[in-house]
Amino acid sequence: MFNNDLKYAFSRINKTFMMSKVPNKGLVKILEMKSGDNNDLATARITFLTKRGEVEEGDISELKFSVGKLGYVNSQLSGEAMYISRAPVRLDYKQGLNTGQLTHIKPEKFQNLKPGWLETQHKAVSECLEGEYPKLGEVIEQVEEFNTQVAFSKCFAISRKYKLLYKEMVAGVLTSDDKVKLNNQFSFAEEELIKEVGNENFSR
Amino acid sequence: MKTFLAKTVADTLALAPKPGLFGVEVEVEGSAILPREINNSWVVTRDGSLRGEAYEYVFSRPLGKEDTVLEVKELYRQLNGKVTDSMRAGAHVHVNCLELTMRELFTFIAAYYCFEDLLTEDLGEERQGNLFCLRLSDADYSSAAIMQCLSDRNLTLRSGIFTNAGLRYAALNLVSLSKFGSLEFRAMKTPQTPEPLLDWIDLLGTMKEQSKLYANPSELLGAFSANGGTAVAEVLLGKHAARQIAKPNFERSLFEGIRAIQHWVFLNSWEK
Repeated sequence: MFNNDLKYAFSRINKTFMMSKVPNKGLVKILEMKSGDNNDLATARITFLTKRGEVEEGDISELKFSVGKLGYVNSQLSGEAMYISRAPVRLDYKQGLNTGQLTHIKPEKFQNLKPGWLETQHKAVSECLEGEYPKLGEVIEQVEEFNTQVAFSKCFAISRKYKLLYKEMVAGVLTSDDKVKLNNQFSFAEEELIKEVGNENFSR
Repeated sequence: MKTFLAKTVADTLALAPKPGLFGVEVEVEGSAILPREINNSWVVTRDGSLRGEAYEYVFSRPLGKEDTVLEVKELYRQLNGKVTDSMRAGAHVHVNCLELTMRELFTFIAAYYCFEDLLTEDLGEERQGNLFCLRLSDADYSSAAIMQCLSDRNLTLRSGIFTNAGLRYAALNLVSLSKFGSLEFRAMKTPQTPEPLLDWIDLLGTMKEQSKLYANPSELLGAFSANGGTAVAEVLLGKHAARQIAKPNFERSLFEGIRAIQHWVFLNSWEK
C-alpha cells in the first residue's frame, strides 16, 4: 500500500476516515501518523478516533485500503435516514473518506453535505459501512415514535408516510400487517428485499 | 427527428466523428531516465500526480486496434524496462464511442459495470478502492447520476457526471465522453511489460463490440437471468471470459455488479 512511502500515505489518509480490519472497530478517523523503527510504512503507527469517540493507537496495517460501499445512513442527529453516495472526486486526492466526497442522493436533487457532516455522523456512517441496521419491526416502531424516515438496509428504508423506499425512490408500501410490498416496476429488487426482511415480512 | 436514445454520441455531444478505436495514456514513474520522445503517435507530458522521474505517454490521436498494439509495444521497447511498480501510475484506455447510439453506449456501460469488480481484481490489489480509479462499489454516485441523466434524457444537465472534470477519478470515467467522445477506463496500474495492457485493451474492445448484440441494457440484464452469468460472460468477453468464470466469487461479484445498476436499467424506458 502507498508504495511504502510514509509521507505519501499520510498525505492521502490524514484527517480522513478509513475502515479498520479489527472486528467491530469500524470506521476510524486518522488523527496522526508516526514513523516506526525502520522509518517505513510497515512499522508506522497511527493515532485514530473510534466511532465511540475514543482516541486509540494502532498499526497502519490495521486499515483497509478500500472504505467500502455506502448507502442509507440513519442519522445520529435527526434519526432521518439519508442515502449517501461517494463521488469519484478528483481534486481532494484522499484515499479515505471526507465530507467533500459525499452527496445526499435524492431523485429530484443531489444535495451536498455541510462541512463537518462526517464528523457528526461518524458512528452512523460506520454502522452503514458495517451493514448494521435495525430490523424491520424496530424500524416501524421508530417511524411511529419519532415521525422520521428509517433505513433497514443500505438500499431500503421506510418513510415517515410508511412508504417503502429504494435508494430514496418510492418503491412500494408498508401494508396494514407491517409487511413490505413492492410496486410492480420495482420487482427487480424483490430478491434483495426478501434477503433483508425475510419471506415472512414480504407481501406479494 | 431522432430520439435521445437513437442519436449517436457524436450528435448528442456535438462532437465531430473521429476514426480510430483506442486512445492510450501510460503514466510512468521511472527507475532511470525516461525517454522524452517516442514517435509521432505519442505525446509526452508531465503529470502532477506522479513522483520523481515521471512522464505520461499519450496517444496523439485515436488508433485502430492493430496500430494500437504496435504502438504500445514500441513504447515499452523504448521504456526499456525502466517502469517502476507504483500505485500512483495508471494505464488509461479510452474507447472511442462517438459512433455508438446512446442506447448502445448505455448498454456498453452496463456491461462493463456488471463485471467491473471482477475485472479490477486482475489489475492489482491496490487498484481495488484506489482513489485514482474508484469502482462503482466504492463510489456509486455515477450510477445515481446516470439514473438522473436518463430521466432527463440529457447528458449535460444536473448531475455533472458527464461534464464535471472534478468527477473523473472513477474506474470508468464518464467525463471523457463530453471532451473526447470516449469512455476512459482507468482501473489498470501501469504494468512493467506491455502484455497486460494489450490484454486489457483487447478485452475492452471485445466488450464494446459484443455489447451491441443486446438491444439495450434491460435486455442485457434480462439475459443474465435467462441464460446465466457464464453464458453472458462468454458472449461479452469472448476469449477473456474463462479467467473470470473460473474465479470462486464469479457469481456473487457479478450479482453485486448487476444490483448496483439495476435501478437505472429497469426503471427507464429504452424505446426512445
